[in-house]
Amino acid sequence: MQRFKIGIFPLTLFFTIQFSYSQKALYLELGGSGGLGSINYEKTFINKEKINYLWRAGVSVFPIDKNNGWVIVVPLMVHTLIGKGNHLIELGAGQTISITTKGSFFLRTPLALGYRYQHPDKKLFYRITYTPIISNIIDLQYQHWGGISLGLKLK
Amino acid sequence: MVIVMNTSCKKENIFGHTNSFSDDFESITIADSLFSEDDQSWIAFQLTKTENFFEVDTTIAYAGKQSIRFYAVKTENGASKSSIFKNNMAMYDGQTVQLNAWYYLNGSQEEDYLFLMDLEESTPIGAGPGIRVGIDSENHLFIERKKYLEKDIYQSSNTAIEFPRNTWVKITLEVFLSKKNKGTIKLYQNNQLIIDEKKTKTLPTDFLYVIQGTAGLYTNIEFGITANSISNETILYLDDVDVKEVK
Repeated sequence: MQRFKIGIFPLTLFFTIQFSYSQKALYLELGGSGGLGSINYEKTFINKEKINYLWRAGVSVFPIDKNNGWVIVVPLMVHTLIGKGNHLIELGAGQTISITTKGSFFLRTPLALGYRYQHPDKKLFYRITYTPIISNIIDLQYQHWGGISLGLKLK
Repeated sequence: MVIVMNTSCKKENIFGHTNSFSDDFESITIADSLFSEDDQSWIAFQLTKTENFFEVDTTIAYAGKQSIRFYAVKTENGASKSSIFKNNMAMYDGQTVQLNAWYYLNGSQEEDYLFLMDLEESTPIGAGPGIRVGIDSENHLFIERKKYLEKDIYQSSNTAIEFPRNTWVKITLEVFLSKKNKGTIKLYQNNQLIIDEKKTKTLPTDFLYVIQGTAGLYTNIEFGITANSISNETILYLDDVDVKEVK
């Protein structure tokens, strides 16, 4: 019989902090948590002086083969931006949902550790990130990966 | 944010337990009798073209009186398969497994990239990754591992041995299973070692979102014309399949 533990991400500790302002952005990530590449939307939900928390939802679509069809990959993650000014350290974790057009489904766990260049007064920002992907449903496996991103702040 | 983690799954509780199987095809009279849902028999077959078929043959047998005769048309569009397979097996990381079978390849036509024997894992997402034994364009046995993104393994050009036609040939694939570069692959033709690969990855692992859900074991074996060449139709006889763990 399989046993599952539910890991509660420690952000619940911060839900009582006053929400300050919201940053919304879109970014294109090459490689990274979406695998080969993904389009992502992120939004700030907690903003402190040197730490921001954002949630992120992305999508990636690519073909596998005739038996599998295409796979739609949806990374759902929470990221932390640490620092003040233009240069930020970024940490992230979440879950990636994969669904194929033939009806198969699987989950993997992406992590992120990287650097973000984000000028407060400019719309464009850049990321370079180490994005390992972990399998933890049937067999514990760890895969090194990385990505680079170009983003556009919407607000 | 909730992250689901499986912390105490035992693979033995999920996957089958058997890593051995054999069939001399002597106990059946029709091909349909090969299959049943118990662990003692083949589970199913693949015929991917309407002209393809397989049947019990009593004219050419390696041992006893019967073999299985497979026929597959040539194809340039999609794999042409005529094969039988068994799943619900479990060959784990750390085991050494050996697949043996006798083959009779009819005729002298060119057979480029004809596949004869597959060791595979069923994954939620991915193209049945594993190891396949095939005949290349030079009529030499070789090992393909494309489906889990490892390089193919060919015989040394100086010592490569052609695959004989119109006679029974024993193929033995012996693999030490490893998800890391600790595995070995030995391929024998009529008990002569023709490929000896060491320190290599012999089990698939997850790769981005292209292959997902590998479990560190092989679950399926497949024999016959597991993929035909694009050059010519193929008639192949199969006898005395024997799969086992070896020390």
